Amino acid sequence: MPRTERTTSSASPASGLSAKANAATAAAKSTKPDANTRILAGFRILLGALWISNLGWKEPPEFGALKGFTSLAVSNPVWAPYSSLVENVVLPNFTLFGWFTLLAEAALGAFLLIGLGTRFWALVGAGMSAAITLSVIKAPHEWPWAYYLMIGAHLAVFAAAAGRTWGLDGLVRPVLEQRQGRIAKLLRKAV
Amino acid sequence: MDELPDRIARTQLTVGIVAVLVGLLGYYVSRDAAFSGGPGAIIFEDIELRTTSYNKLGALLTIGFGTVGIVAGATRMAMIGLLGGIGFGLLALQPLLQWRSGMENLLAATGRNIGWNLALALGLAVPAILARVISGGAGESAT
Repeated sequence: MPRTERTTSSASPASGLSAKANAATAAAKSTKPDANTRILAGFRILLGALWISNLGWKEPPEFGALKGFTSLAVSNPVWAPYSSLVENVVLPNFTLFGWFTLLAEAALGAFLLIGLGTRFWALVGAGMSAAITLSVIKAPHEWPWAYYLMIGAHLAVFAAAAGRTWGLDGLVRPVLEQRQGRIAKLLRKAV
Repeated sequence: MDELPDRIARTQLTVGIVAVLVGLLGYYVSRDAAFSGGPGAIIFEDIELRTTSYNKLGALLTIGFGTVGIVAGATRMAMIGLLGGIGFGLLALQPLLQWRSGMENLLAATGRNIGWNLALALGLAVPAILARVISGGAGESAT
């Protein structure tokens, strides 16, 4: 079984650490987190917790509460094309939509919490926040700025690549940087 | 800045410690039957902390898989963490399987379980896979 031996800055070939590990380690040493990046990493963790926490009321198989909120896009339309989409596509197939929402938000929360593929998932979060915004901001007792802030928060996490501090992106990126090819290039954009 | 293998070990250790602490808290909360599988209002009354970890069986499994992560990080044998990651992955799938089978609700089945356990699964499994990658593949030790 591979064993990751404790390493020192003077790791030699005799230590057995492979060339790939040395190269990845050198890339990993190039970024040192400061207070700002730590704050943004905490912000990312908070966003992950937000999504996971809000899965509690999306209960399968009926998804009753979720259906109630989604219906607000029809009863209190914000943008006519979106309202029409919800009325004609989403609501008639709500079980499928409910499961999609549950699994997408669970993945979104998990990946943001652990900081893996953070930039990709932050964009997904911004998109989902935009969809929620289009559903509810015209409804009574809603505070639209909460949803604008959600979109902004995800874009901030995207821009800062906040998974590289206190997240798995900080481990994955140095390895990806040593790899060539289209898939590695694509994955590097996500972390 | 630490070397990558150090960071891999520390990541698994940290994820394992977090899991064990949450599991211990969950076990403590679930001693009260009223909380077992139900909302655990332990910080503020209006904050529900219902996950599999706040159910006696779920808490014990969380402690067990978290301990695997701690062992992986402490011994620097990252691939052990993969076992813990698979365990948490199965816990993440459990609500889906339970819903499909109509099983008795042994573990609180909410979407939170999927998200929380998926995060722990990734936190243990991804570093294990990375350790495998940087060690050069099967059979080659990084020592």
